[in-house]
Amino acid sequence: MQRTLSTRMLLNRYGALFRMPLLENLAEVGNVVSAVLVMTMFMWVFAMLWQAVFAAQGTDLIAGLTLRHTLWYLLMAELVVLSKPLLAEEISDSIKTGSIAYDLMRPLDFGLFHLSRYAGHVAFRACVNLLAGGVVVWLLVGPPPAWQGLFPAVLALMLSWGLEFCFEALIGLAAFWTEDISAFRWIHQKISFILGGLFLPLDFYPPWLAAVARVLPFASIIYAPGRLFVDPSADRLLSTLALQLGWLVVLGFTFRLLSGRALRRLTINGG
Amino acid sequence: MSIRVDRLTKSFRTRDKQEGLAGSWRALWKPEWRQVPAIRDISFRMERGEALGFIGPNGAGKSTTIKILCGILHPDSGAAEVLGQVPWQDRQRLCYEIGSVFGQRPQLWYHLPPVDSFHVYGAIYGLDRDATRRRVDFLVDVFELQHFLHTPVRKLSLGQRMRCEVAVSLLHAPKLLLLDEPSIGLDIVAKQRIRDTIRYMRDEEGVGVLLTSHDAGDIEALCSRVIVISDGQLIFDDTMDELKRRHLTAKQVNVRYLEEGERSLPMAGVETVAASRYGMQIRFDPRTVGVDAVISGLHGLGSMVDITISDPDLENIIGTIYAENALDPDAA
Repeated sequence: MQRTLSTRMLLNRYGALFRMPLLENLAEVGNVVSAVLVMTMFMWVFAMLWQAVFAAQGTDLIAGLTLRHTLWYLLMAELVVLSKPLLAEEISDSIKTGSIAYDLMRPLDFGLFHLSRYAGHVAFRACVNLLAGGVVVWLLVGPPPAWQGLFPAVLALMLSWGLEFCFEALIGLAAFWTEDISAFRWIHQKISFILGGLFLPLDFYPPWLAAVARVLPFASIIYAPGRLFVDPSADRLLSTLALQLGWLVVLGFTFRLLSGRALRRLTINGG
Repeated sequence: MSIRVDRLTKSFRTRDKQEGLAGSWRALWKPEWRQVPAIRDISFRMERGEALGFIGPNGAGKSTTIKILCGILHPDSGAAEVLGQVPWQDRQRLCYEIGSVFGQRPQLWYHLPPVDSFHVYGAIYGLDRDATRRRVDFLVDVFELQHFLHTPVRKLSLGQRMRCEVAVSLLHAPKLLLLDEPSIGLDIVAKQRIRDTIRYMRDEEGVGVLLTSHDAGDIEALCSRVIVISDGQLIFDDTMDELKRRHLTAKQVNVRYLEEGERSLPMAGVETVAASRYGMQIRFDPRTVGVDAVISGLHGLGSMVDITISDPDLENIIGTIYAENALDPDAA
């Protein structure tokens, strides 16, 4: 059996793992249909809500954003949150049940094993959610304000899921030290929603809070892709990607460090 | 040599808590840690291509030993070598040489047909597409998976699923197969089928099998040698024949009578295991009590309509070994 694998074989290996959630999603159409319903309903509710807000303000522009900008921004923000799998639970369950030991018996890197499956799930769900939510938003407020924002937004989305992967994996790994990770999940989720700008763009926040929130990783995950999509200026593109990459380095390094420690703890102490 | 284990010892640290609220409170401020030995001073050998039965009651240390042999756990002391490598130092390399089936932890993707899992494992183990296809064709043939290769795993019967599990564990042509309860929950036909295919693969490809099972039939059908572990210690390591010879000392007799009645056989060295209105079951050691005497004693109790004399099955033998060990915890 070959032990030194070529790059092509490594790509094959993690590519095959990436493909499995795609196949699973296609096999379980019921789950996909319910995801589409959730996305459609959320975007419809948001549209009604923000139409009322803009009408009540009697203006076309709030903090530099039109209703169309706002809704396409919210679509991207929801896309980030609704397209990801429950990675933290998956990792913590595997630790609690001990099945992580059997995952370690494969010739796989722990991080890449989870990342490739996470990416496969996100790729499928994001396409479906984008299509479902996009149709609703388009019908209610018209096409995206700037088509040239699509490519930068896709780039930013990939980085944002990379960041979210690190957060979720870290929360899952916490199960090595504490029985129940639900408190961490809850705190992470609520902070992300508020400081990430899931329900309204950070631009609508008081300036001091918006300024703080923008540099935090939560904004790099939820706010960044949507804001870039509706306003793809070169300046914004550079600053957004630079900040996302910066946080990715920090969180990726933390994940590597802690996963290494956790796995050593498992092999030496038996978990 | 497939496996060499020398004086392996491993213990875990657990936190004790006294009962009730006060106990919980105390445990919070002043935790009481305790070292619990999982395995103590275990040594054994397994030759290449050998099928070795590894048995012991729950909590005896079987899975700790297996995890050490896979490189997932570090022992506290002692040495081990699996296929010439130290497992906890060379785990990633060893992965390619070991296949595993843990009966209660499925490795197939639940919502997808087995064929998809076969291909993803092919890619994981670095096989190219053609090599995977050839190997899958071969395994499908041996394990007779043709009829459900394309059916989602969740729709397969347990027997079909286990055949796929064992087949997928052999995809990368491992030299050593670790089987933990491969026949758990299976009916007798499915069990027999799994045993036959494992035996075929052992003979065909020379793959060594380390089999853990509560089912004595699995061990008897597949293994020529057996090691028994209890309370973290090795209490038996020899051939299957030796196990039977040493512990197959008792004969069991079931007898049925024509007429109803309360009967007993008051002979020294004869133990009544069960009695009913029409019959009884007794056990005796033929080295101390003559078979003739027992039969004529039984004959004297009434007119017999049926009698069977049998050796106790492996399950009973193992039960006896555990019981002996429990009486004398230092026995090794």
